[in-house]
Amino acid sequence: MINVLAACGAGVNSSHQIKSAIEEEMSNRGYQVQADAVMIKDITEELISKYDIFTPISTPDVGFKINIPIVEAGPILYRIPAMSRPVFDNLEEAIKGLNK
Amino acid sequence: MPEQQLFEENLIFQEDFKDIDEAFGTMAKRFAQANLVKNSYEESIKKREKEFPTGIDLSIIGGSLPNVAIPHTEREHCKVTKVVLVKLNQGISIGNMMNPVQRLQNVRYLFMILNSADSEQAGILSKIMGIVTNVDDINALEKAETIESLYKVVEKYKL
Repeated sequence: MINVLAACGAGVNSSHQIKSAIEEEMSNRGYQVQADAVMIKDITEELISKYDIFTPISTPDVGFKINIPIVEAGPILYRIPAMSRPVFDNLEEAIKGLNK
Repeated sequence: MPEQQLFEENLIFQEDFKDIDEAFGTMAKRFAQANLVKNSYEESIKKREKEFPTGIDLSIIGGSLPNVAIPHTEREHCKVTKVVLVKLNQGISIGNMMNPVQRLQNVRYLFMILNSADSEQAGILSKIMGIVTNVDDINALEKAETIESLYKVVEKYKL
């Protein structure tokens, strides 16, 4: 199981849409992915250490170095295949890089 | 549960706000009067928009489309789950959600999302994005001059 952390300012709407889209598309691509959606202000080093990949809308300043792969997922929100495909491709590359 | 409209005619506005702060100030007071939000909403939405702007760049969809924004804040400040549509007669500038340091100009529509704490409506943003990336819908909103005609464009969308 690959654990993905999605995040946005309010922890509703954007991050939830990213979570659903990632779980659906990665399942279609044959990966078992579980994503959670949180508020950026709730992200701590301890929280992020429980995840394999971080998928914010755009990379935020969380005040510490993030040591897991970051895939910027904002373009997924447009729900336009030509825009979301590169994000999913990057995510798939990141998943392969985990060797999990 | 019966199917609910995503928009309500009495939650559609056409305004002359000069900037986003004026928009939030006026709209937050209306929402509070209508018992849609708590008094903490105004401060919260203003703060959140500064930290995490919600402008959506529609130049990606079509060169001549105006831009939009989807202001929203944490659930704890809202009492209901609704979408409020505000057409701005003059475009204002708002930070780009995908790239917060960039200011988007000519933001002409606010889709203000109220999420209440007791509902999980993650699909709302997805539906709004479906509308704003639909060139026919945006062009129809552009032509609409009254609240009634704005509502006619969006009444087909369900919650």
